[in-house]
Amino acid sequence: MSDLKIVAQDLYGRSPMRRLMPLWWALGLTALFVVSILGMNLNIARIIEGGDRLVVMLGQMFPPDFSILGRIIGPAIETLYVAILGTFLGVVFSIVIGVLAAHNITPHVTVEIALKGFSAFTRAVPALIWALLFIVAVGLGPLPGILALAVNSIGMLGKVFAESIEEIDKGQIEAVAATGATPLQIISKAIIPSVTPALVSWSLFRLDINIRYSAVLGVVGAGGIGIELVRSTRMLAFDETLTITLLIFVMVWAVEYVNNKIRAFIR
Amino acid sequence: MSEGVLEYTRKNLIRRRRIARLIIFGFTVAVLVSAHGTGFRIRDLYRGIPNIIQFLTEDLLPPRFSVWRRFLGPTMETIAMSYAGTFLSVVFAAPLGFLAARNVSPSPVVMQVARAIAVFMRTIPPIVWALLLVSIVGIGPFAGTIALGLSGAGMLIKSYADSIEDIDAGQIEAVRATGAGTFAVMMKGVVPQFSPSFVSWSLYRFDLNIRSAAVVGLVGAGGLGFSLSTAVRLFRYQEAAVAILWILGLILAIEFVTAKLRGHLI
Amino acid sequence: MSVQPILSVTELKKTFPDGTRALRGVSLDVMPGEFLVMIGSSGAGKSTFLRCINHLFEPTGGRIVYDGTDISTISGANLRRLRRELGMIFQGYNLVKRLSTIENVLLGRLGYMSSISGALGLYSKQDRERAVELLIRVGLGEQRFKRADQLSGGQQQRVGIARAIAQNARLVLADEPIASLDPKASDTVMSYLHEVTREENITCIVNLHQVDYAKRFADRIIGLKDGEITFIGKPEEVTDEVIRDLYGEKGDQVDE
Ligand SMILES: Nc1ncnc2c1ncn2[C@@H]1O[C@H](COP(=O)(O)OP(=O)(O)OP(=O)(O)O)[C@@H](O)[C@H]1O
Ligand SMILES: [Mg+2]
Repeated sequence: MSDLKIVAQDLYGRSPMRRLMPLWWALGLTALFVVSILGMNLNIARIIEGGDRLVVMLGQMFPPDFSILGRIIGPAIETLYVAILGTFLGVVFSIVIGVLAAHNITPHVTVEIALKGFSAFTRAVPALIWALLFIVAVGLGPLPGILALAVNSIGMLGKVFAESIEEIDKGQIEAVAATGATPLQIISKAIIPSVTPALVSWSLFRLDINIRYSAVLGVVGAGGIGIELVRSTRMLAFDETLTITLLIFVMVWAVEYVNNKIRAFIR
Repeated sequence: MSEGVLEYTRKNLIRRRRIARLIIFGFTVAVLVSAHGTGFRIRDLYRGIPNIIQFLTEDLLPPRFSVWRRFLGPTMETIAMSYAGTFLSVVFAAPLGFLAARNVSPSPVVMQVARAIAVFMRTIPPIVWALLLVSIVGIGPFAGTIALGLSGAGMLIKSYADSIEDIDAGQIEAVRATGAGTFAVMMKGVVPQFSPSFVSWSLYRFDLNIRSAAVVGLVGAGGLGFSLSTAVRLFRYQEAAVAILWILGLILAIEFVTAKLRGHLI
Repeated sequence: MSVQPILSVTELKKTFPDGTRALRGVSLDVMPGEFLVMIGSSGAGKSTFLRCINHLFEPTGGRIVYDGTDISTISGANLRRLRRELGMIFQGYNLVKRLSTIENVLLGRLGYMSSISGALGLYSKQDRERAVELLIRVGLGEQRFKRADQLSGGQQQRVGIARAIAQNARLVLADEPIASLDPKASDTVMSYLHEVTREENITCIVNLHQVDYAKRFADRIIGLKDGEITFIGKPEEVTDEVIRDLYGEKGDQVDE
């Protein structure tokens, strides 16, 4: 009955102006969309041509060229390695940062503020831009990619690790302290067990994100499967592009699948 | 249930410990293999970090602020791309979200198809979409817009569907009990409950798109990313620094604005 | 008689940084083996009193002497050595939820181990056997491999008791151990607490809201009001008037 009443109010309780609010919003937002598109200096001819190109491209894509699998499996594996190492380094540094920046156990507020600010900065600059910079700084190869993912991960994980430590039930820490435990024992027996689920599931989530970034690091020249992808589109070898895209899809999906299994186990 | 609590919980504890050890072992091996495979050494870290600091302090800094005006256009372009991309995602994802939600989908087959489309679109990174689209419609922000639209739609279909699945079935039944048709049930039973999460997810996507838009430009899809990669390719690092500051400022500003909007609308 | 009090508190004061004067000068001698129950309305300062004794709160005035030693300003390793002799039982149980029941009992041994071996959880065989024995004594032998968060409230509090006893505590401080439990579980927990501490000759100070339980188990009852002791006496001396004085006019509604 009360549900019906709510619905009835919804129908009759508002003025016509308010009832039409969603419509005004929709009109306004659509107008903004049109303005955005028109403001892009579109090359209309090129876009119309795009229809034909799409058809041609799709035609070339099928059947995908699986013969290149042997050649691209190496870069694909490197992509996986880079994601794993970037995540690993990110997690290790983030644990340190999280412990030092968590409000309830930080050695000093200035440390907390400095580290939280640092995390905010590394988080706000996108991973690929870090990669672009690190290539210049440390040269080509997997290293700049690993560092870029690590730095970008620190931004996110440092913050969430600190927050999960801040959320620990104070009573558990007090109870262990009240047995006469040392600080190290308190960390090991009260803090670590409590934050493990959050820590693991955030780290895995970050691995999900990092494998996606890692797959496209090649776009800025930082190695892995992304380089093959860029090369194939530049050479208009779209049958290869499709194979590589499918491989990226499988990799990303597989990592997500395994992660979900582990996350379900740890609660 | 012949075995007692003690036996059962003991086995359970041992099994969990074993799985935990297996996972730890698995990840340790994965890290070691990765380090071996990429030739990564710990000393790369302490050799790399001075290089990075040197690059940041000597090449990148100080930013050449005098060129800041040059990035005004690309900034607007980035905003336009993000907004238009979000708009496309929302328009595309809203109906599919309903189709992909278990409790309101017309049939399980439709639901599975809608979910599969979503998985496909969001699993492929936006920059890959951008790369393909640049080949189709040419270099420029239009390619970026479509790329953001596609990968955003993938995420939104899933998020919308999950939110719709969480809504209270009682209110839907209440509307249905009045004898309302399917469409009326949607509009009066589902939509009012769904709209806060709809607004929230859409705004969140806009937020993410600003970040992605700044990046898809790296492959030629316009905006600040394009200006940045051009500056780096030309070794004009101090100009690149200004571009990065613009990107940073834009991301933070939009994050602030969407947070305010969210508070205001919900 | 020349028996020394195990705990002697003189003019204990606690003022919180926000200016709240939770204890305004509390003096009390506790004899070895006593089962003491402290009653008083919410905010009277009962928890604060217990927490000052094991320095979860720092007292701001007065003297605390434990077993002949002044512990008013104890800290560092000495504080840890003191704490392992003082078991604490909490209203919210405060078990480490994601550890097994038996490991929660074993946490009581941390104060006796080296920092490292404790952190790594390398408990000795004796300790483990004793933990099992204690769990059996509080009726939870069968539950010892369950994760602590899978136990009911009453069961968790019995683990709390076992953890305190595992410390070889000589004094147990129990802060409203049954405030979150139903009557049946309350009965069980209070009975175990009373029984085990009697058998091991452990001194016990229990904060309670329920006057009937206080009368049933206590050797002596302390009444605390606005940070001061207003009553000390045997259970049979707790008259309706005393209760009305402690809890205000509505003497029967002792639960806030
Ligand atoms: N950490 C704290 N900071 C400031 N004031 C506090 C703090 N802890 C307790 N107090 C105050 O000290 C007074 C006594 O609190 P205490 O917790 O000791 O009361 P209590 O008798 O245990 O009450 P209850 O029966 O509700 O547990 C209260 O006024 C309370 O607000
Ligand atoms: Mg209290």
